[in-house]
Amino acid sequence: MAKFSLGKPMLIGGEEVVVVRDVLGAMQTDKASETYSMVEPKGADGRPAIYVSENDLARLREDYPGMKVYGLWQLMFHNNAVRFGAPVVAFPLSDPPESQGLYLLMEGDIDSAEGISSSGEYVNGYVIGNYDIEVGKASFIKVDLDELRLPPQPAYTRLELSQKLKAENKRRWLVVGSMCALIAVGATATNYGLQTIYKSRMADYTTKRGLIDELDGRVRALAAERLISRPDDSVMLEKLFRLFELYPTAMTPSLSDEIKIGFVGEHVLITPNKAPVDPAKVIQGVTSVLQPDLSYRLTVEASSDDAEALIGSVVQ
Amino acid sequence: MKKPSFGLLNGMSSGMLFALLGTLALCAFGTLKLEAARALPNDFNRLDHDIQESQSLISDYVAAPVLPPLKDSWREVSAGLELFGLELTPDDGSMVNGAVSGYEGPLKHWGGFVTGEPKTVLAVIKKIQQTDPVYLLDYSMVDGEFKLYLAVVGI
Repeated sequence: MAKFSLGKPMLIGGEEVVVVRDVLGAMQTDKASETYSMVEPKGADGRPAIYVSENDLARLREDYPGMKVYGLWQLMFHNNAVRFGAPVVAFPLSDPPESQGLYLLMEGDIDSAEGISSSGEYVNGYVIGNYDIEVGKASFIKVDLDELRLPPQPAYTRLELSQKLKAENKRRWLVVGSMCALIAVGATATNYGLQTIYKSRMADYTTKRGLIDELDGRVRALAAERLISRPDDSVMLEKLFRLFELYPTAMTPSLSDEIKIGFVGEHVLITPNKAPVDPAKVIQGVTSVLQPDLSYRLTVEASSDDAEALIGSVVQ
Repeated sequence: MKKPSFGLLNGMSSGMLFALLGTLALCAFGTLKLEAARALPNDFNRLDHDIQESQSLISDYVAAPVLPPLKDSWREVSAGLELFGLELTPDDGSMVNGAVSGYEGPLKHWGGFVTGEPKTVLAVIKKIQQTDPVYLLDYSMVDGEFKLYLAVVGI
């Protein structure tokens, strides 16, 4: 095992970094005056948050500018190197392991990270100020420096963190701004495309409209001198002829009835009083209504061919 | 202190979200507004059909012969009626004032009426319609006299 030293540049995971002393759990009273910066929030397994002293960080920044700093326990937890199961978990910094190192003091549940109550340093097998802790019975951590991987996030001072946060925020706004710009550009492009399609369609429409107007003009000119089908009322004339044959004195109703009797309107005739024969039974396409004076009011229906010829000629 | 994250959208504040959604809504609104102004005329999809219809109508018209002059047709109708002792009387004003239906169409026309025994009138008119363009209009039958209004058309 390569020599592990705190506060000195080391090669971990192919990168030269500095590992610093960090603390978990309850803070030691003599260090309460110091400011701490969090390097790792409370873990999902119940491990307390990991802090690094800002003073230590500031000193390392001065000694090794630009070099990434990681907390020791942060590194150990990230590499899953901490083995629980003893009241004390220790990381030896010398040989033999009991002589000097760092420890985690467990309380209650000694088998999981939840039980970590405090951290600290021991010298010559004793913890200064707490001689009850038996470092000799600790679960010592053994790691191979070459196999360690770096946590994703190094330690930062609070100032650095806030600057980092600011930069991050700025970057996000930039991303949001460019996304907004992208949306605006997209909308503009879409509208431009739609407008182009619309314009070409409208041009098409205008052309066709012009063509229709021109064709309509031709239709009007032709309709003023030609007839597609000549007026032909022979079928109706035949029916009326047969009706008058039956009742030569059939009359049209008086004009006060507000209906136009004829080829444009309706064919209505009234037979003389006491008419003996119902023409509807003799002539096809005639409907009759018997009136109180025993005359029939007849309506001669134009057959569909007649109607078409009529519409065709009169509407034009 | 929050662990900074480096995802594209991770940790987006509500302001950013608002800006994004606002832009999106504004663009969508603007596009819809403009799209409403780009409405095509109602008959846009009917034009091709209309053109075809006009063209087939024109070809039908072109296939039909040009009508003879109105005065010639009128003379023929009048002569045809006279052969059977009937008289073509020019419109007495009832067609013009709307008392009876008139011819409504693009062709030049003269209106008139013929009176007589109904069967004779019907038979003669039927014959005349075979040769001359005559539109039959209103008729009346009072006291045994049949009065038929008609319009002769021509150019």
